Amino acid sequence: MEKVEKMQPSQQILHAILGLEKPWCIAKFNISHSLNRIDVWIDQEVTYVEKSRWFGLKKIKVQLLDSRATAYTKWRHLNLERWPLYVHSPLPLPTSLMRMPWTGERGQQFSHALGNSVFSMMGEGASLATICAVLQVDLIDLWKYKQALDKGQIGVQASDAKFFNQAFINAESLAKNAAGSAVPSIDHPVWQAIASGTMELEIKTLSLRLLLTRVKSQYFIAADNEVRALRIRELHRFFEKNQRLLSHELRQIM
Amino acid sequence: MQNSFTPNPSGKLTNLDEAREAILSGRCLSIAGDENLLRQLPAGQWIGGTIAYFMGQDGGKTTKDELFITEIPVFGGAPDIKFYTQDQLDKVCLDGPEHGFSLMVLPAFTDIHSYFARKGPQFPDMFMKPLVGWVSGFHLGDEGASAKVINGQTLQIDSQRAVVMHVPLPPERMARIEIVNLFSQGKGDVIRFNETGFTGKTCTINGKPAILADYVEHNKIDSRLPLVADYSGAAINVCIKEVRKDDKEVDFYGPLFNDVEYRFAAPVEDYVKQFNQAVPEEAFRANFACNCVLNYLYLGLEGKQVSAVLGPMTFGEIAYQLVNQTMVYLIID
Repeated sequence: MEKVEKMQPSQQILHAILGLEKPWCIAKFNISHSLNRIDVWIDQEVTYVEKSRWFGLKKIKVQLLDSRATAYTKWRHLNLERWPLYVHSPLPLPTSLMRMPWTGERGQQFSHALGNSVFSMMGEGASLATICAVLQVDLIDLWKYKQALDKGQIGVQASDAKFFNQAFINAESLAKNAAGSAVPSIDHPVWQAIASGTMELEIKTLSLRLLLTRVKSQYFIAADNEVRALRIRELHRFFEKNQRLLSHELRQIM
Repeated sequence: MQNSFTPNPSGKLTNLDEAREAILSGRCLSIAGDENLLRQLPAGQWIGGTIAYFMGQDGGKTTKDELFITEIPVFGGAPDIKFYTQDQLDKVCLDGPEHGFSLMVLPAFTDIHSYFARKGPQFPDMFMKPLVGWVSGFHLGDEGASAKVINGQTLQIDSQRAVVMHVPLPPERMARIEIVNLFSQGKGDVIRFNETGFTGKTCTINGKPAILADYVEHNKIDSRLPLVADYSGAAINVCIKEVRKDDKEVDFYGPLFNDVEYRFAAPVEDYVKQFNQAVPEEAFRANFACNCVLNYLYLGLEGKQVSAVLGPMTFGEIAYQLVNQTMVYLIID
């Protein structure tokens, strides 16, 4: 067992940022200038009272239980300024930590908080390249996250997604109404009807046929409404981008 | 749009000298042919791949002595030509011009070919921007031959990477990709697969667990008929490569996806006649086209004229995602 010294100020800051509450604490952390990243290891602390050999005084000691952990898992969390933050946690992940924003879904690389940020940016129409640049995430990791969403393997925390989902829908609606687009606004029920298959379109455009087949399949298996909203956003974006090709299809939904 | 270089906008079969001339005149080209000829071409604005089968101006032809050249119209600035490794291929659509199209050539039977076939439909921005192209191959009589692609700007030949030409277009022009597929779903059983991949083993047939190889054998299915999936009205084929009875597995030239339903294709009578009837008029002004070598072989197209849409007969066609036994063409309106 490792003895823990009193937390340093930097540890205290990280402790606060990650919202840790006892018995959870930061066991150690590492700032790598060469890798440009911060790694933080989370562990459980236990306190016990030890009798001093001197005058029978009591001393409170804190110990980490990291020696009990057989394996650690790691999530890429949000950035601390320009530093990508990686959080390591012992496995199996205790229930009390499962929905902490710095943890993530099993087998996923992004923490819930980072995933929600990515989802938010996707919802706002940011390209994957932009998301990579802004959040300093690798395209391959981002693509894997998107695939997990597409396959219904992960969802988005509704409380986090609700606000930005509505925000981007409102913003798009306003923008499209202002621009007088031929494509119905994204909050129009027709998009949900098309994506869910309750409205069948006669489609002449190959790219829409291929895209819609994928959207319908992903909509069907989506883990929650937020992911379904993302599929609708994708469909809407396709119509916006290719409306010159889609006059036959647009006539059916106007 | 009339192409100034060839009478047929989708290109022509020509000799080495004329291909050289076309490159040196500064034209932007897609070139298909034997590796030996491709290696003799000068640097320029072109990409290419190896193949020995063509639908030329005189009909279907197998040759190592001619090259098929297609002029790629350039209206919106110089195209960007680059190689992609498998690790980079996910970005191919993101890299494509916001307004324009991308032309890609992949070497057949390689990891990158398999990767694109399986993962392509999930690439970021897939279907948002036109991605067209073909899978390079080799003469089937050449033992040990491998498919190659070539970056005409650098004259680098590669057997593991994809070569892509990203072509921007001005706002008033728009590229679109279309397919002509004579096969349609037959009225037979509905087949679904549990996993995405090039090999079909266990599946469900009308909802009941089954072994595909047994099904093919017991039902005496003509293995030249592809499995066909219905993508919202577009028939997309997956062609059988080999039925391995002993292993009870069926290998395919393209991937089977686990989220679509397949049926074996209805037989096609008199392919040439039906194909010529099926090709829409607009295809005759296609700016790029290719067709499948399986159509060439199974339907005996050598020496036969299949519409006036010319191009290489390839080991796979790219109409956004990989398709099989299908004619693909690009139109710039």
